Amino acid sequence: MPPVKKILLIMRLSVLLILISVLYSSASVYSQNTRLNLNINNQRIADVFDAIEQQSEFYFFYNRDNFDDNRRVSLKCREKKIDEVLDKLFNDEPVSYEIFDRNILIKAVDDKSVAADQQKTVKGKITDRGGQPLPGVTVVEKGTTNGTVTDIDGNYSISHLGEDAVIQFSFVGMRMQEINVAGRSVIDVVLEQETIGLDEVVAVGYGTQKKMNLTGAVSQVTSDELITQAVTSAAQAIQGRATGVEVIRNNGAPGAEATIRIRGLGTFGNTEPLVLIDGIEGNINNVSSSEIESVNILKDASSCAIYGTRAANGVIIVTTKKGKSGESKIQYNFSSGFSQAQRVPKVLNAKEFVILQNEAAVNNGLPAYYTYEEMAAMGEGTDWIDAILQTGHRNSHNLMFSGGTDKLRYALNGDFLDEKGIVMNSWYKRYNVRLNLDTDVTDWLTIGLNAFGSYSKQHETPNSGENTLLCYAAQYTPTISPKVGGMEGTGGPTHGLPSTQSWWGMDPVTYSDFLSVNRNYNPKYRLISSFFAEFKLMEGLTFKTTWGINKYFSNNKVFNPSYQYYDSLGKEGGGDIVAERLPKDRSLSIRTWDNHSYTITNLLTYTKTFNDVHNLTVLVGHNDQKYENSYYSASVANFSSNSYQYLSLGTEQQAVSEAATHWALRSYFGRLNYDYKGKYLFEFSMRRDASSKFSEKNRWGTFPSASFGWRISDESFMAMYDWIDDMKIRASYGILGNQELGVVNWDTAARISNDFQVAPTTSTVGLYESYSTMNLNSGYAFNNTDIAGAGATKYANPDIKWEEAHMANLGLDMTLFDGAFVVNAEYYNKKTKDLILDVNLPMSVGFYDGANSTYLGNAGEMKNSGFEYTLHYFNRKGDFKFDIRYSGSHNHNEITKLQGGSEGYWLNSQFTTMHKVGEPYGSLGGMKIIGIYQNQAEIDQALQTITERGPVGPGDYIFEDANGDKVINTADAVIQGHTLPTYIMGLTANASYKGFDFNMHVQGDLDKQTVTRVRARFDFSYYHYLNNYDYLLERWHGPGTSDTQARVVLGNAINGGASLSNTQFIQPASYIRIRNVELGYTIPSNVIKKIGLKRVRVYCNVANLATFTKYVGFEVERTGSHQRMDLYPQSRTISLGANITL
Amino acid sequence: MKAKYIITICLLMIVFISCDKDFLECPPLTEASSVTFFKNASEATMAVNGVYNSLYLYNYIFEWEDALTDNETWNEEGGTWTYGGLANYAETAAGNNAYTYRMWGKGYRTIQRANTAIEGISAMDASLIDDDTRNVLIAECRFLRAWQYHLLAWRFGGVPILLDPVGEQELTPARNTKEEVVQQIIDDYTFASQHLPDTWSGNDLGRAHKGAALGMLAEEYLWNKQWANAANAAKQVIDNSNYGLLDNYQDLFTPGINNTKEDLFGVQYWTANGAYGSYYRYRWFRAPASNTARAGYEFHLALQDLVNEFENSDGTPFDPTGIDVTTDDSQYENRDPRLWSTVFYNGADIYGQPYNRSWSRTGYAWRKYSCSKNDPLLVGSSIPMNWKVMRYAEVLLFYAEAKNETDGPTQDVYNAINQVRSRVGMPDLPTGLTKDEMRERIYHERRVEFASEGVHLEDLIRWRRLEVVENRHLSAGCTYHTDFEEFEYLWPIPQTEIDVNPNLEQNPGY
Repeated sequence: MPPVKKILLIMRLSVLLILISVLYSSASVYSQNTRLNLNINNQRIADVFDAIEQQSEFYFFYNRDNFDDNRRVSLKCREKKIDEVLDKLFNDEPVSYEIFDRNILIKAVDDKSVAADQQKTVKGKITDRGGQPLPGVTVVEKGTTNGTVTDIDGNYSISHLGEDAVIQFSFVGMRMQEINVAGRSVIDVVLEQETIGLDEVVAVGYGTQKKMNLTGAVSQVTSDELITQAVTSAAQAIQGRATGVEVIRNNGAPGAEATIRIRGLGTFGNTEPLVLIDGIEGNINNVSSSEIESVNILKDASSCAIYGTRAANGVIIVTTKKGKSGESKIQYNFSSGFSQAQRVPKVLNAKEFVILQNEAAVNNGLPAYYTYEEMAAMGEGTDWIDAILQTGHRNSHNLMFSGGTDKLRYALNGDFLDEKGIVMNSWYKRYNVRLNLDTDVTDWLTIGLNAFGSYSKQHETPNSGENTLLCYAAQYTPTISPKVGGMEGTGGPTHGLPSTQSWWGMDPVTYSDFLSVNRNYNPKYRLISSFFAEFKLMEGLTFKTTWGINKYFSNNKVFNPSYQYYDSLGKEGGGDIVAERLPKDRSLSIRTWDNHSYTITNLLTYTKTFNDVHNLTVLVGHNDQKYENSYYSASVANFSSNSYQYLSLGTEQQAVSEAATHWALRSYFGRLNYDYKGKYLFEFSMRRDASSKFSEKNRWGTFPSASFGWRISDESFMAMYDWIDDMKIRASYGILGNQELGVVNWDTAARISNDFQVAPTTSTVGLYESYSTMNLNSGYAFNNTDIAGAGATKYANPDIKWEEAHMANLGLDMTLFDGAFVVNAEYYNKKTKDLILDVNLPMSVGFYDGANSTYLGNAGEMKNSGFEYTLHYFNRKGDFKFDIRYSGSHNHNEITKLQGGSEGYWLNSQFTTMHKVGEPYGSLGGMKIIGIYQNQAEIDQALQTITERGPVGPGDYIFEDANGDKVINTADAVIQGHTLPTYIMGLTANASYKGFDFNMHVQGDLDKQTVTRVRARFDFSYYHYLNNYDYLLERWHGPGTSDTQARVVLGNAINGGASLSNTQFIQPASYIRIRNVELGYTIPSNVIKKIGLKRVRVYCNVANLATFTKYVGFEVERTGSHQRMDLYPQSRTISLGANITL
Repeated sequence: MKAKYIITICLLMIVFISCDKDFLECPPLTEASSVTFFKNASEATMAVNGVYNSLYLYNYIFEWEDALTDNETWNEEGGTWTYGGLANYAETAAGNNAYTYRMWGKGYRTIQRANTAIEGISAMDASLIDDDTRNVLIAECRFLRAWQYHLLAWRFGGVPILLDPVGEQELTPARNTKEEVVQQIIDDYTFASQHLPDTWSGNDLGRAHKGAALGMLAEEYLWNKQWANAANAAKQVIDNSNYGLLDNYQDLFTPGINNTKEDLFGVQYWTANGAYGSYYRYRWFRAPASNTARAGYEFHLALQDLVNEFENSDGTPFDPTGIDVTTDDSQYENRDPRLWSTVFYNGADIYGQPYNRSWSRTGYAWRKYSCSKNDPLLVGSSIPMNWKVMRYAEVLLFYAEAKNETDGPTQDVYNAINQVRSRVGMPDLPTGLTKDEMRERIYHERRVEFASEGVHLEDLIRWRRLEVVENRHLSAGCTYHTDFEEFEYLWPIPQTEIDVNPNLEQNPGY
């Protein structure tokens, strides 16, 4: 061979080696398919190679220093494969060869390895649990660069395996498997879905990171867990599945939203975390769990600080499903089921009701309403709760088309949800469409589009305020008969009660029917769309720009018709009108919310590895966001008919209004990740934010964080502990901001105006605190005419700034016993300073508004500390596979400072809720009941030492004189509970056997209380004519009959006033719920292949199977300072469903 | 190379976006900033109207002050309602009574708006507003400001004088002396009386005019016993032909009759769309819906003690001796006609049917400021009537009072009082009264003429008679205050205010 050829050969060899090192894949089929015919007689080997090269595409490489190509050989073969030819050629020679597609490398080796190499080829097929072939699985011989990927049918073949070779099979989203070849030549593998794994990639701020390299605290919930639940939204689906995350379903009404709190409650204002859906701010309550690939929850300063002033409540990053290059898929999921109320509390029946009414009257010194005979004749009466409950339905359909070519990927997802609630006339319908598309325009440019559209309609039964429909039904007089028919409602006659002593008005069924017409069911439209372009500028350096818009529009139209409802005697029967609206008072109102926000994000990312050991990633970015919200309403009265319900047809009391707000945020941020061999991990991030909400002098805020991780398991001294697969400790510290300044009345779930959830308020609170404003609606009626005026109505606070959370986090991640145990533990401590509170302002400054004189100022401090852990056990061996995960989150919340050095104050005049230094946020309280006066002698004795709150009689509560002043009054109200759970638990079990799979999820909030203010009404102490739950049968009605529940009385003064909270109103609200149980079966692929399907899984799911709690009433989950006893309960839903892949 | 072009473009885009300096300027949209207001005369007028607007916040103040006197009582006997509490000064003593709180807060709110408007209008360039307009607008603001300081000074004593506009307010001011506050009030009223026009017309009806300023000025002088100045100011009103008495007393409280020559100043309520309806609806007395139940919201009830104050129609005092006033209807015969105009008593017509004393705890309800539920001007439950702050009749009595103090019961004094009496058909006062007797007659005339108009409490304070009234056992069913002490003439400054302003000293005794 001439020198030139040798040089060329070396060059080709280099190219080849580079190819090898870069691509393990591209398994050769050429060498397997090409047949050679040779007839060589005593020729040089070099000539043989030439001959082969001429009749095929094979090419030989060898180094003549190691290999004698002048050796003469004879060979005769027909239709032989290249390896057979070569085996003959080098039969007894100390020569080995390797075939890389069409290239054949000849080298001299020792006999042994040649022999081994020749034999060690393994092939097989890789499928998922359902028998579905998995293309693109990486197959690598452990510890080498020898590898391949599976083809479109899931087949692979790997050759030249070393002795005692172990093959690793890995695939994104699947658990990696390692299999010892042990002499086998065919190894078929079933890959399991990954739940916890070190190779998992998690989403972090503006990017992704390998979970094993994380130094911050991030919880992840993946699509597997999300999809196997019959829930309305992804917000509900993550409940109890991530540590440190409290999800509160506000109620069980169709379409009801959930509130999410991460690591306790760190502010008096908005506690909602920042939610980013594919990088654009959105609402996780609107997203169907079928649309989601993963939800990542960033909890500590290290992971959140890159979101600066928006991050103090934590960050939730939602990644929706994207298409993958390769095979196109059509997936269809549906479920259909019915739902029923669980834990329906009993109310008094008619007989019990009248007995208690009588007793109350007598206790007040009035004549009894009923004779004994009348009472005895009273039957069960009407159970109005039963009358308004129904069997609900829930249907959901999700259809996804996904796939892609090597240059374009797509996923189109359509989702439809139809829920009919368990309370009559309640329903929710939602249509979602999502398109994710991206394409490689050139080898350096990728562009893409994420588009999401949603439309929903909803009819809520009255579910807020005093008169939730359930509350109404629970209180409605049981002696009244259900409606007979026609337009006439019921409402009496009152069976002997004075007319003022029974509930007049429409009965609950009529009321609900009445409220379910003449409205447009509040259609809501959402559009979230973003476009991105990603440029690969050079090796390791990319620039990505993303432009997005989030649009929300809703329109709520309600017509109030004229009506007349008579009692059950009817109009003809001479009945009274129980409810009426005159024709002149017909009215129509339309309220419209029209909100949008824009966001632009530019990111520059540089990744490089130096000397194989120093891994560096640097990210710098810029983000601009602008929010523009408007609300307008119009109303008009006096319509000529109930039928024509358009604004232009009303003639009187026309009123229109508009409220508009806007704000903007500009940010610059950067992050540096460095690790040494993946063993020592370091991260530093910083964000600079400027918010329009602050005056110039406080506009810019800086939010740094740093974290460190140490993979101890990679240290040599850990080698002896071979049961530790992986072990990492990490620590982080940083500062987070909160620029949501409004003080939110948390128990009403009010949200502030940048939110896209519920009807956004029109409040400007928190947006313009540094401005003093002239209210232009300050007119005056000169000469009976509305003359415009302007008055300064708000104090400007130029010093207002963001709340600042200082947060430290310690974490431990371990994988033990070959992946059988995964343990994660976190400790955190978060101190929030400069909390925004209503600060008292001297009235002389001139902003008393008729009730208060306050402004928003930075005045409070709060502390949250906690411990979170997850224990996950896997059994992957054999056909019966299962895993069990338990997670627990402790949180301790404490107010450490209030405005003006105050030690604490009650939030309302009923003394139910208090903020107090040293206690958790919103502690519950009231008068403490220490017993019940059993007889007059006890009262007389007590009165010798104390002054009672008023006249008391036997059967009344004994309140504790908490302040020791010998006077029982409101000053004795004390804290008796707290609404924040101190422990949240979650237990998940998954099991599979052959085609069967089973999933169960249990979740609980422990150690919390709630105050049921409505009990004040129920206890016959205020609205004494209302019906009540049957706990009232346990009331005191004679010496020794009760120590806990007072006698029934009429009027509100006797037990200290109905409006005064006491121990009896504070109920335990801890609960444990079996959230989800699902049994599925995947039909074997050979069966369904015949009908053209790839995968079919059918399942049965039970949501909210059971709830364990001591709480009396329907719904325990939502707690607040004014909890109504009868929030719409979460229902038990039993569904059948299927997941079908075409 | 291509890539580099792209990068350049991208970087340019970033720069382009970042150059948008206004991006972070997001001022309030549906409200104006006080800094940028006052761009033209129209905005100046709006700012002044905004001061008037603040008067709407005084619901529950003016019309309820009679409840602190022997004229009326709060319906909720023994309840925890704040006004009931104030009547016996129980909460007042604790310094946190909602009534004192509101008086303080609302007063300073109006003062703040006036200050903001005065400062803004004063600073306007001459090209934006002519001097006359400027002075009139400022005069209106100073009139309203003086009134507030008057309300504060005669209830709380020397209060902080704050004259700075929004944004420059002193956060923790100390108290000025009462003399300083009074001087400020007199200066403001004097300026107002010099610049306000005699009358307004069209959609300016209801603005403060010269007569209002002079009448208020006269009152302020009276409070300070500057009798000659008071008489002089009152005389200017009397001599001005734009002002006078209405012929019919009842017209004063008839819905739809507003801003007459007798109305020197009133809070303008407008009920056409309910936006500016008054809140003193608790006077609104709905005719009972059935024969058995009383209806309506007569939260304030006139007392027998007031009824007894009305003279017989021949001008002699009414003597209840020997009459069971709780049952005997003959007591209502041949009385001062203003009795009928002021209260509903048993048998009196209440919008088409006779009033029944059993409908009220005291047997009476207020007719003054009430209206029928069928009145076409009634929208919702607000009363379609202005609140009368000062009437011409009051200036006549100011004049009489001042003149009596300087010159004794001269003919001028008789003329002024007799004008008020003869309007309702009451005989002239008997001649030959002494100065002291005349003072008593003026006191009586004021109580009767202005009953339920929020005048009586101020009179009792000014005449130092609260002590007598409060320590007197009034009619049955009335909360009374038997241990009134001298220091209670001054109300306590709200404790919350002292809590946030360390420079503020509490009044003695609290």
